Amino acid sequence: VVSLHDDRRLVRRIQQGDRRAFEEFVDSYGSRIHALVRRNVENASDGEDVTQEIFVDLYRSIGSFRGEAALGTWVYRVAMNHCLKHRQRTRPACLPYDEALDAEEDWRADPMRSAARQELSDQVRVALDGLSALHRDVVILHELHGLTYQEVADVLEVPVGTVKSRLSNAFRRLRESLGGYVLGQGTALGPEALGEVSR
Amino acid sequence: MSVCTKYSDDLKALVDGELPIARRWVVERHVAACEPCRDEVAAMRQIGDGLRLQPLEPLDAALRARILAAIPDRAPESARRPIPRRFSLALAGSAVAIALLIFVFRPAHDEFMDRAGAPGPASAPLPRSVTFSPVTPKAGDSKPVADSNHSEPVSPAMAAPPSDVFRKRSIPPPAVTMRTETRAAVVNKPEARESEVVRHDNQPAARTSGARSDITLFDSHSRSQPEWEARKMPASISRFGANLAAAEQKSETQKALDKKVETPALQAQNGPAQPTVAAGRIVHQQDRSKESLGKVADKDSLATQSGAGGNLGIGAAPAGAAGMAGFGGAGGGGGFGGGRPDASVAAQRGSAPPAEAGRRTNVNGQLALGAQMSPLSTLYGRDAGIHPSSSGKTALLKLDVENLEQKRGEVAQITRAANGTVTAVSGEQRRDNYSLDYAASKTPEETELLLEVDAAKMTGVLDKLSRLGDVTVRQVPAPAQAKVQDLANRNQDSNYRFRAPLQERAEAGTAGSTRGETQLRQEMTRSFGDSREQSRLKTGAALGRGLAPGAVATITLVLREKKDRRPAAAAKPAQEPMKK
Repeated sequence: VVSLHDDRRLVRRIQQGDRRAFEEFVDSYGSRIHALVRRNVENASDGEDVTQEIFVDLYRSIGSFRGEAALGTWVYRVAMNHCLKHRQRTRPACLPYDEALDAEEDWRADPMRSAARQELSDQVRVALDGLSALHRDVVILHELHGLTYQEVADVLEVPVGTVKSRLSNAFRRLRESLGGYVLGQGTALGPEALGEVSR
Repeated sequence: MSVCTKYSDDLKALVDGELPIARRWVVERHVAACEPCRDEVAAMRQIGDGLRLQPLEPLDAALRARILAAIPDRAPESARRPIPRRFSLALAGSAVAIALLIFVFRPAHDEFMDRAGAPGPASAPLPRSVTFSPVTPKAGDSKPVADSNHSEPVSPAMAAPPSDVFRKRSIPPPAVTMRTETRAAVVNKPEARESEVVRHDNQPAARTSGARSDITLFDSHSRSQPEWEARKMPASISRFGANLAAAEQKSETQKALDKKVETPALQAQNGPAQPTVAAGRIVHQQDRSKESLGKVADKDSLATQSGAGGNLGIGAAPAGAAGMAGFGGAGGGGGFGGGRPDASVAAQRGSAPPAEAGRRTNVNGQLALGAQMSPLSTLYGRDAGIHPSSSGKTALLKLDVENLEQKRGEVAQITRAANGTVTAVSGEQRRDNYSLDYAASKTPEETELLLEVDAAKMTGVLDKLSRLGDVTVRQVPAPAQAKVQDLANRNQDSNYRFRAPLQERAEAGTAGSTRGETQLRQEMTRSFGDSREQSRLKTGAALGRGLAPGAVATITLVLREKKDRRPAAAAKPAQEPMKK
């Protein structure tokens, strides 16, 4: 996590045309932004195109970044705008299941726990894809990308209260969708099986 | 399993640690005692963990290379210059200003000193080139001001001296100050007039006090000004040059008005110095064409009086010197080479208690000085400045309000997303005036913003703006006028269909008694059910459709303070607004 001071310095260097600084910027935000894009874009090649567009746009417009908001918030906002534009262009009914995002963990150490986690992850992802776009965006930004409520509100240009209520509703729906997979009602996903992730 | 909905909306925030302390304490206590809520919290944690199980993959090397290859070689557009360079520019401008001042004033000053203090006939009249009075001497008048009788008016031209004085740069502007001092001496010691002049001129302290007296003079006069008058900006910044030219021709009105301030001037000599921000406003009252000039002089005299002089070092110059620097226009004063208005800020700190006045003077000073961009940019952002309006007939003060209050920041974002701008007009101000309240007031109850947006995007803009305040469409491109008329016709038609029959029935004494009327009323309610604001929005939406891209619509947005203030949003590059 880069500090605010580092962010400002990085931005200043990019604004001065330092390409090395922009490489650092891409290294810092590339994976996160690409993951966000992949959540919103149907196929992998489109996702790469959109990610590239985002970074080119970020580069072009970073001159207007004044540091009033956190750099990450601004980056996410630009990325979300691109994703929304893409979404409007393509309007997929539902995001497909994406194998590429699957976790590759060493299941040999604890096959049962690994299987349980994988199952939960898959189920949660399917449930997440079943959410409306409004709810999904909030969940992705907050849960997957670790943005605070305030940052999510800034990115999505909605009040913090809206973020809060959307998250609350989204989790309510996720719980309904997951049914027996939560609260130990599913045999494979008992608290003991999830002990590691709950830590 | 039972379900508890008491704090259902707060449970997720509790899990995320996003609840305020007081609320968290309440919800935690409830959760501790409520089993359904405990289950809910546990489920939320579990789902959250499940979500976070998905790892973040590093960026593919090929994609990284692709991104970097797509980046243009040149530096990002509109990159702002680093601050140190700006400072250095300001310093350079200040140095040039100081050099200019010294260059301009030194010869006249030396000449005056030579004439007044050098051996020779002490009673010899001073040449006109060193006449103290900023009032243009009458033709054939060979007497210096110090020799004039005391009924001659003291000119307030400290605030607005005739520009030929400055053009020639042969008459030192501190004349008012010195003359005032001299006059008092002459009253008591007529034969010592010249020496008094010399003595005062040789004493910087006396000069400073003289400057203070002058400010008091104008201040005492300005107290009679209405509050709105004192707040007003120059009537038209775009006419600044014209004002300057107009002020060069001293009118009879000006002369007559000059006489009126004699009494306050004499009072000012005896009274304590009480400089205020509004000092110099008298010029505004005397002759509107000199409004801008008066303010410049006012500001500069304040700067001198406060001894601050800002980073220009004006405090070291004679009182009138600052005024002259201000009138330099192209390169003088705080706007020098696009420098920062620190001088006026310093002056405000030294003499004006209200914090908001500082900002006001900043803007005021910058505009009066006719600087192009920088000071406003410093205050309100990179894009701030004076731009011609879409019609090209008027100049509008366009402020990038992102640096101001949060809500206004949202407006700026919305308009920017629509390729638009925000032009500040507030309260009673009209297009040819410039509101300082907008910039100065921290929490005005109501602020009116004039927005210019891409007409093609007006519908979306209006929709978003309506969440922030009342919106009215003030000016739209010509093709849309027909739609406005059409809507008005339809409203009239509705009025005719519903209200007229009702009125007839009321007049006939049958109102409220028939089933038909009830139906009519219901219909009318449906027709007029929308609030006025909604109607306005519909009007705007109707206008927004079918307009040629690139057409500019002018919208008035009235912002009123709401309880639920939204947070400041981040900067956003120009692109399509998000639609949710």
